[in-house]
Amino acid sequence: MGVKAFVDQLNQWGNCQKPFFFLIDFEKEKPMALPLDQTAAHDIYLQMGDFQNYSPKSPAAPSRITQKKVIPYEHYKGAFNQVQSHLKKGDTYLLNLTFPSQIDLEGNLLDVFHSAQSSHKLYFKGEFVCFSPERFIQIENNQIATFPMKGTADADTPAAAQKILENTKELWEHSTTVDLLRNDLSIHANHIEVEQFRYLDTIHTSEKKLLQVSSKITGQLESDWQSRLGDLLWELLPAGSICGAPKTKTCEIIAATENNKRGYYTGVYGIFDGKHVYSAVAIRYIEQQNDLFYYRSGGGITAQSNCSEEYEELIQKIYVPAI
Amino acid sequence: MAESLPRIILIDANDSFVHNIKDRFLRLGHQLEILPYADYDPNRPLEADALILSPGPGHTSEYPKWFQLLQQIEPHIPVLGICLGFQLLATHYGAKLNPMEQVVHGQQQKCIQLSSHPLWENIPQTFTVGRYHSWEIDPNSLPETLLPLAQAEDACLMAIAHKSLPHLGVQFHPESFMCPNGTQLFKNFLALIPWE
Repeated sequence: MGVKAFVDQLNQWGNCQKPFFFLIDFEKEKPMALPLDQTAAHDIYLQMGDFQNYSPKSPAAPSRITQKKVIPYEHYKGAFNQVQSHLKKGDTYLLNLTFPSQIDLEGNLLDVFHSAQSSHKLYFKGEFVCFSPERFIQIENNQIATFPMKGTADADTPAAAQKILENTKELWEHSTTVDLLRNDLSIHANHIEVEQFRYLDTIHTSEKKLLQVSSKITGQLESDWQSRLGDLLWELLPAGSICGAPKTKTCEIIAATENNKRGYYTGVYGIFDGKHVYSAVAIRYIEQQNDLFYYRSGGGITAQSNCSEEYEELIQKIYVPAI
Repeated sequence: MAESLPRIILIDANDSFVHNIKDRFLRLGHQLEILPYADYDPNRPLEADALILSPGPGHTSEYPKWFQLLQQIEPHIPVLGICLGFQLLATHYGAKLNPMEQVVHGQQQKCIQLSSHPLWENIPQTFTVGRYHSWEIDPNSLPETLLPLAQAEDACLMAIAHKSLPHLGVQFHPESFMCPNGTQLFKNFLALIPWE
């Protein structure tokens, strides 16, 4: 679907309150949308909060990642240092750096989809599965809200919650993301408020518990927002929490440093149920290429980042949230 | 009536915080026109009652058209430079820009007023601001024409005003959620626009 056709289609479906599913890649090159009742027939399975279009199945055993082949540290460090030189020059204040890791999986993508415990998850045509802990935007009754997630910690380390909330590097990174998302909501909404700043969620994985830090930002839309839904979504992207700020320059640096298109990883997916919008950021993402599986992960780099800690975070995020 | 409001143009250096500035002005009942830097043509005069030079990535030397603009505009038109825009104004008047040893991105810090000025109307002597910058103005390089207005807790220069023209700059981001006095600061800037 071309970009203009996609945006027009969403505006039209929004205007006539026709429920649909949408998926937009990070590069904004291959967006797609389908009427919500046709998703399962197109080999797309989806859970988005209370909505699901499939019958839950319990696999014989939860899917596990048995082997990770992560980008070599020296290679990561080269990319990290490039980002640091841009931070020093003021080209970017925060940049999310990600890389794919080849993994061995027990089971296939559909098994992973069924065993992943997540309030948002997507299985897409045998190409990828995503079990995102991060909500993107939700629109209910003319109020738009977004929930940027920045900050991950191992919940089982002593005083983990206190440590991550008191960590100034994490605070500064999170604050940058909050200002960025306030800006993005302001493109179409007014009366922007930071309703919750740095609250904690716990995520259970097969290996450990993780803490995630998020904020909630809201704004008020004009009552005719549904007829402009395509434009509204398009102008919010790429999602601020997975690129950085300022966006345009930061995305140029990402393209030059990662040297590999992200595709639907770090894009967004969601539904319009005829009245409301619910969506998630496509992170925690496994894709299949031929017989091989790749898990994409990464984190935000700031001037205060430590290379080996960021490398550890990239590895820590390779998990399936199954118990 | 919209016609009775001053025309304020914000020149956008492809930044990701300009809509926060727009939102703060909307709360004060004022629209901002956002003009992307790439679309600004120095050969066509800007018809504005006030100008805002936006924050943005990189170094002032990457924005030659802004220096042309500052040479061309009617001197009585109020100008507010924010972050990169502040650095641009200061270097336009002859100050020196240095790379920082420790860059400051996304940090909330205290800002301390150094001189009284209409920009500080109803803003406490010491107030909190949000900072995003990798370059700083050398305070010793400030020309006679510029008055230092504020500094941060690390002594970094945070605000300047031209001594005889309504040209002002702030290194911090008044539009940030980390700057609760930001809307008041914009209100104070609006008060400098000669308008009935």
